[in-house]
Amino acid sequence: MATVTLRINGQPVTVPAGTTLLAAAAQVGVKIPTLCYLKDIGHDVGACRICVVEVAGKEDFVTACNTPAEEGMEVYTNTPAVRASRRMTLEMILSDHHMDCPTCPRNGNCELQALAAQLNVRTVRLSGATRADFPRDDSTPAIIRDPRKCILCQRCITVCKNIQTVAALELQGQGFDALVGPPGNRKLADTLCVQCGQCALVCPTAAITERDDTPLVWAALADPGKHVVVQTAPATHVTIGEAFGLPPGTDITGKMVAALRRLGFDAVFDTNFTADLTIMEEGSELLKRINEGGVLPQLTSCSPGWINFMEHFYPDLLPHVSTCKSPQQMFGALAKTYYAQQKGLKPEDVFVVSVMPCTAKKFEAQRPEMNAASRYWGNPAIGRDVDVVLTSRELIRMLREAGIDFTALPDEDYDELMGVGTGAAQIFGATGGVMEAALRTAYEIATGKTLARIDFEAVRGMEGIKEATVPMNGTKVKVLVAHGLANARALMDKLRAGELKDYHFIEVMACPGGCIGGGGQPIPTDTGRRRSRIDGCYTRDKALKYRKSHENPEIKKLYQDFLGEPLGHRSHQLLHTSYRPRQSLVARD
Amino acid sequence: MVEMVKYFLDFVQKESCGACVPCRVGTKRGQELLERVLKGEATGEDIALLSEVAKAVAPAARCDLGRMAGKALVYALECCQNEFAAHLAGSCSGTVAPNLGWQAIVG
Ligand code: SF4
Ligand code: SF4
Ligand code: SF4
Repeated sequence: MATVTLRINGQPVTVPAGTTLLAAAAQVGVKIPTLCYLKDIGHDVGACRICVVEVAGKEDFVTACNTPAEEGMEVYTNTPAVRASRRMTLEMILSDHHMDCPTCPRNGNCELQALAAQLNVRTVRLSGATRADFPRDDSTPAIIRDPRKCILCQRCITVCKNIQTVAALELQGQGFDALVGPPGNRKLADTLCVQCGQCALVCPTAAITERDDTPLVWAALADPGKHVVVQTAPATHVTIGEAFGLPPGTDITGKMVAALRRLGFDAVFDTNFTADLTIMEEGSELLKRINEGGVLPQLTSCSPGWINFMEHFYPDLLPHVSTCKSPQQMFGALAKTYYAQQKGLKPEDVFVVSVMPCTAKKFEAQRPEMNAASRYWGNPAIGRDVDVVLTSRELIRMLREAGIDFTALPDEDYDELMGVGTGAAQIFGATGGVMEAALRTAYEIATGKTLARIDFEAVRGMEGIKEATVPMNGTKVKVLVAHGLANARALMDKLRAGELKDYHFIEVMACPGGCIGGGGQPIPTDTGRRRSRIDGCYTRDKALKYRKSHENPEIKKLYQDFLGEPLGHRSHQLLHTSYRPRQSLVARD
Repeated sequence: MVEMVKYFLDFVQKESCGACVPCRVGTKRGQELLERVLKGEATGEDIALLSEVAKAVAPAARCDLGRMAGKALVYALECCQNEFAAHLAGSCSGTVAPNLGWQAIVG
């Protein structure tokens, strides 16, 4: 490998050709401050100009984040001129920033705050016009944009365009009035935005956040007339601890159950239970499609960002999508039917809260058709199947507000009836997990044999598109797994072109890494954390008593006592759904 | 000269892509400070701040548009100190007529 040798603040360093000055400096222990740079998504546009350095022989500064090291370069990262420029640049940013840190959603976890502390900027001498007039956009149920807090770093543009291929946001306007937002001053709800929240994860400030639904949950908990139940998604079991100082991937399930009881929930349940149920229904659907010549390959349907993406961009391929609702929505429908009935509760008194890694789940819960319980009982007062969706970040805020010493809590078990989840359900949190869980069950149901090895390593890991073939009763079942919508788009283009005809099942998760990297997860969510959280899912899978969905005793009981059989009449009523093309949005953009 | 630089900054604000901070915000703050100078409202501190802004923008903006704006300000502040001083003292009657080309662009 070709290398170059240069000096950074007088210290020699040899690095592979192409290494940036930022990375080269890090090798000699020099930490150049950055603001807009984000390695994880390949974002190095050099917009903020905080990482400027001096290079001998150059009149102007260069940005360390995107300037490659050259042989013989003399770089100075810490001269008075460089420091003065950085500080003044930061003052410029702050002079145009709606600074209400104490009440800001990102207070305490804000990169702009952190940089001001790092550069020891304690006053802002500049003043003048501000972005005060840019309106806040709260048009979607999930994502809130506040351009007054936008520093135009453009990370959201990069992640939305390159990682998700949605391109709902762009840099527009001129000079001081430049704006990052949907083109043509549109509201986010009127764009192709799929509400995945990846933009919120990368935003360094509070310019893009999740909608804060915590007040609705506090109100329900305080209402004696409500029986408030909560479900926790698999991906939250290995991420919530990060907010309380635990390493990413730590299994905090038992503590989360205890914490939710302390908050006052009447019953604490596991979305893993309905993840297992999803496998029963979706696996049966797959076998039915294979045996009866249905539309193949079947596409998974648990990621609501992905469903939005399909409805927006590939409406012609919707027949490929499994009709199964997501585990969240299956849970909501069952909580207000099965659970209410078994417990002798009035379904209209049951209030369902979800704890999700995902912003798009907020949108999903509000879809008009997601009121199966209300239709089942013929009672409009029952309302939504899922009443409120909290992201991981919102639950963390509630726990803090309630003064819960999370790490000191004992481990507690979920309530009975909808509280048992298998290892197969746990790995729903990671990319490839739904596929692996489905294969574990489909194989055993189709062949009547017990799997010798239940770990399907081929569909695991952070590779963008993964593939596996599993022999099942004479059929070689071919599967694909994609995470991140750019990878999904690559597959859908092939499917549209007729290239994936011999595949049977495709799992897609909208967010990189799967739900553990969801748009509602703790910030930061970077590649390293994604990997650790994935490891956490597989570790928990191994530790659980049951590891295949069809072995879940509560699922067996559910079919026995209430549903009958997979794909039966009640399943169709409560657990399956349909999709609608939303091409009108495409046409408008 | 103060008017000339002000016109140039107005032009830069109209043309700036808005991507980088020194050009987007720096030239705006420069504009605003120059306006104070032209209205006779500026103080010595404003001039000092203007000079700091100029020196921060000149080497750090992402492209030559912003860099030129910063440099024009730096040079003007260095070379035409007397004109700035005259504005501060409220005794400048204007020196050269603003460049008509820029005026046309700026509108
Ligand atoms: S985004 Fe950061 S700097 Fe801005 S108000 Fe919020 S916490 Fe403060
Ligand atoms: S939520 Fe997702 S699709 Fe919508 S703007 Fe953000 S990154 Fe793009
Ligand atoms: S919204 Fe956030 S991520 Fe997007 S440009 Fe503004 S500050 Fe950066």
